[in-house]
Amino acid sequence: MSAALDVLEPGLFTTIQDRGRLGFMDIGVAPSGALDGLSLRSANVLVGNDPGDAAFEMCRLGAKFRVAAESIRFAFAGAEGRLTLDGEPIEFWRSHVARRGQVIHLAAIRGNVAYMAIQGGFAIEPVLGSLSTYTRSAIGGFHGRRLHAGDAVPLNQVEARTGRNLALPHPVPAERGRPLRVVLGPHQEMFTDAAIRTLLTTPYTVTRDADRIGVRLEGAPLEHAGAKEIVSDANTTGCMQVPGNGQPIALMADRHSCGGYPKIATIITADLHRLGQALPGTTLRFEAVAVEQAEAAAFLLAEAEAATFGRLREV
Amino acid sequence: MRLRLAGDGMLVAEFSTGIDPAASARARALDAALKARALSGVVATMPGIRSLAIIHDPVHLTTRALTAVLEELESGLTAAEAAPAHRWVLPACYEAPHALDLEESATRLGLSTDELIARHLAGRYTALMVGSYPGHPYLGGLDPSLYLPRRVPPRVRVPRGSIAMAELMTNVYPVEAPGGWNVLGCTAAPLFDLRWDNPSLLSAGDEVVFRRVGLAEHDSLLEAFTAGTLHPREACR
Repeated sequence: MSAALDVLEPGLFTTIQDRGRLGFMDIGVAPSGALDGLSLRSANVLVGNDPGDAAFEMCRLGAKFRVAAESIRFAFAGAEGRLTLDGEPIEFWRSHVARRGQVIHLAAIRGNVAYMAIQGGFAIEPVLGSLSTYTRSAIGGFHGRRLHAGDAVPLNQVEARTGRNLALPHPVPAERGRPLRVVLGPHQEMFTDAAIRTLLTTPYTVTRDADRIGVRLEGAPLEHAGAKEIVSDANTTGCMQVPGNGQPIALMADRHSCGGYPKIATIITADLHRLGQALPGTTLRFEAVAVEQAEAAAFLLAEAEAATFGRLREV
Repeated sequence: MRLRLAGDGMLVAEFSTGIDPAASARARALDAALKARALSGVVATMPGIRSLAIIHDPVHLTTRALTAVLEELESGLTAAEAAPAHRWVLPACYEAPHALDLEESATRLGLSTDELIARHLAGRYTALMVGSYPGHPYLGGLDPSLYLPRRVPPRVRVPRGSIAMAELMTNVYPVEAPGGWNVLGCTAAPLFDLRWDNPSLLSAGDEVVFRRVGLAEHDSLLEAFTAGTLHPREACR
């Protein structure tokens, strides 16, 4: 017997993403993966999956699904929005069970991305070890693309396992407005001292040109000290490259593996999930930290996450 | 070796700021030494045109610890140039409709199109880096007399298989993509296919030469590669 989720409305840009397709940078394949890994992992633990398993990532506008299985257990995490089961409001940050024919709908999202994990995951073969969708090269996920109305996404489990639903404490929203932390470089010497000061003291607006490849920012231009290009070298997620016009672009999960613009600074690992939730029209500020501080922040975030997941409770 | 920090999750060991085959070879040698060490916390590596990039998990492998390992490994590298891992002979058709910029490039260089083709065919190229797009090689070793800047503005669509050149490198587009390189012709050989065990035909360090084919041979090769009756790992040796 088969199990699936029928896509009634696909949302704006709904893809399957997991922890990412790691280790293929040397053949030019982007890591992809969830823009907000913390929320992906939260959704997964709520349904008993491994934290880095694949889930739906919905961008700005949620999707509407009809359950074509006996039952499913599912959970939403990330930026919230009006979430309903057969029209009745239900909550983020806890799991729910839906039965055959029931309709799950997330409307507009008050943030950039939300995640929906389904117990047991998708009945889809991984590509290069991952279910993440890299739409630009049509690699992985559901046929390498975002969802369309009429798709039936196959599931591994025909019915939800017995047991109670689980809930997590809501994450603390205290981080809003705090600057994103960066480590300067890898090419900070290619910029004037004034450019570094400008980056660290003035706000940058997220433009409409923001997707899974990169987020174009707009603000005071950052002046190159000399050459405006380099012989291409490696990119990573969070790198802020600055083309000749001086307006930085923060690179995201579907970025090119390498590029020819100097990179003035790199957003630290512990703040990447916040970059992933950045909405067009909002402003970002940046604060420089030493790499040791960045590592300490990554460690603290991992500890805090483990502590939160240790507080799962039955509901 | 200059170590550049790209946040807390990537370290770049840079051997040159320019296009430099020796720097590229050193990056590949360091990559091989690092792989042999099988260091826990290394997520991915990319040997490049002039540097080696290492993506690592900052919680399990700090920049300081990785730096110490790289410095130790680098000091132990021998100067001997490693032999290329593979040599590939890619069919190259320099005829219309594929030779989008051949005549213009020849004019700008003050060469006949035949002379430009001959100099491009004479090159023994090294894949200095595979990246930007899946399977896309940056090939070093272009005859310096063929130096041309990139096209401004870049083309919105460069056809799949296009063989192009810019500055001191030549390349092949594995998929249709935007790009500013000057297109001389097209190869029938596929460079990237997810059905292969290793989806990229080329790896950094591989040697590439081009073999001239006419339009008829190009079309029949393309048909055979597309149908799967021909595999570039056998047909392009």
